Amino acid sequence: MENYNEWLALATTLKLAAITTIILLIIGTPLAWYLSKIKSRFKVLLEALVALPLVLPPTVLGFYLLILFSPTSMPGKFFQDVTGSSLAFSFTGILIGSVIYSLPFVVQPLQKAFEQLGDNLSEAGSMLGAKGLDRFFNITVPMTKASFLTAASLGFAHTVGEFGVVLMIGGNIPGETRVLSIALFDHVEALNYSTAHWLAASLLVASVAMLALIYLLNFQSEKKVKARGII
Amino acid sequence: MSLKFNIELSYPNFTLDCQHDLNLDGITGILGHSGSGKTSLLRIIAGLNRHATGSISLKDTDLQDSANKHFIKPELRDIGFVFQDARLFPHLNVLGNLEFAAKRCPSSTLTIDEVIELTQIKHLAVQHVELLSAGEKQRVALARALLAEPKLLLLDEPLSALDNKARSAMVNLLRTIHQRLNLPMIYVSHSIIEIQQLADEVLVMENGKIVQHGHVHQVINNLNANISDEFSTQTSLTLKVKQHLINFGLTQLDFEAPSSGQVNLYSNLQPQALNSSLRCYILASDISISREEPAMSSIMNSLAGKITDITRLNKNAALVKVDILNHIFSVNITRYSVERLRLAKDDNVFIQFKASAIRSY
Repeated sequence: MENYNEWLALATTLKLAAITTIILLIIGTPLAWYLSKIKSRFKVLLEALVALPLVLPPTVLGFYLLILFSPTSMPGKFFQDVTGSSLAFSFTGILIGSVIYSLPFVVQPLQKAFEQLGDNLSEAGSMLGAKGLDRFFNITVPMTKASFLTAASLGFAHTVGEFGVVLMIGGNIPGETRVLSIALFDHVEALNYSTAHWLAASLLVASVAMLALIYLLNFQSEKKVKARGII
Repeated sequence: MSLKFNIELSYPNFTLDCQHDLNLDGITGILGHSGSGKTSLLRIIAGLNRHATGSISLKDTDLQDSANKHFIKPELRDIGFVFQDARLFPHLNVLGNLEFAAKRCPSSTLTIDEVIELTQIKHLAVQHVELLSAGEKQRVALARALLAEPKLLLLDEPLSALDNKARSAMVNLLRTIHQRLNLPMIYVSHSIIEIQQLADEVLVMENGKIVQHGHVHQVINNLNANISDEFSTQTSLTLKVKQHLINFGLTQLDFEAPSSGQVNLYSNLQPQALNSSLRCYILASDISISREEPAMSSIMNSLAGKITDITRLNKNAALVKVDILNHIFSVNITRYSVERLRLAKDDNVFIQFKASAIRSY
């Protein structure tokens, strides 16, 4: 039974991270594109907002989300009226929290990649009759493939490692909001050190493996670029 | 086909203000220093600069009309663009770059194979674009632009990164393509050499304005010596090959325009096909003037004409313009000679130059 709960926590974590990453790619890509193109002062404000989760203590973000999610507030009430269940202490709740919390990890690498790529190739594409989305998917995306990979991996990994936000808005409901980091905290509090060791070690190994993969992919694409440049 | 534009573009330190009606039958050259606004003008025509205001129309299509908030996006203008830096897609190989253009072209009059043949890039088809030389890159960029089958092709200093050999090959290629496909081109360059070799009509730009326009030879003959470092005062001509004097390594040439009357000019340029046209130039310092028809001279070329203008260049030198059958020749002589021969406007004189003075780039 004990074991079953840990597997459930792992499944919840992976599900949360995967859906978060997909949502972040869908909303983060146009946001990063927009940020890479605008030149007004508004850009600075928007960039600061995107970067906020990097500096804000997760508990602060969690606290405000908790207030927003409560059935007494507008968004919380709306969600409850539509779905019949509460947003706080639900999977949807921690999903929204994760998306906000991991936003900069997806938007920033993409924005940087789009800025570095510049408009030159896109202009060449438009002079060959390629329209906006056509240019984006057939020039920009293939040219920034590595950054998409980095962004997705960072978004995923950061969501796996999330603790404070989930604790504030999700609580500890098995199969719904109990993720690995919460489970680990639970075991430590219960002085159940052997399980805690197992969980901590697997999270550590998984994180190192994930980061190594990211750097390996980046290294390879860089090597490719360099090799082309030298000849 | 005609291109009309009346456009304005303001930056803090620079204003572009150009209006012109271009007849696009031949190759139109836009000549100017870097920073004169020629690339900006080209980008505005292509639709790549949305900040410009005014109107542009190509044939019967309004491409832009700021007063009515009308703006056709670059991808819908049917205009091709060859960039200075080629801008091939690095994630595709040469063939992939060509297919990118071909796939998006609604009509398919030209096939990839035909264009590959025409631009002589067959051996490069499966190459990675970043392994190509500058000349090869521009060939592929040109092929790619052709496959989009534009109504008008804009070329922005496409030869600036090329060495001399690749440059002259590319000039010949552009000429062939223009003839074969009957494709109007606007060619931007700071190099008088390239413009002299390629253009029929020329616009000269300075500080964001068109300061001169006309037929290539006329424009080059009017240019003063300081427009470009590589440029010294010269007479620019299109001559027709009449005859080869094979034993002597000479080619007999004549003015191209039939109405202007016949002359016999001799040059030792490499033999070209009979009746073919040759863009040539003669440096002003290679021509001399005499009052009487020179007899028994080793100098092969002697032509009778009339002085139209004498300008003092500096303390010692003068530039004399001589009209020969409506072709203006620029002659650089000392002021001492002007005094000694008592040269004046409307005087009948003879100009002389060696066969080797007729040059071609």
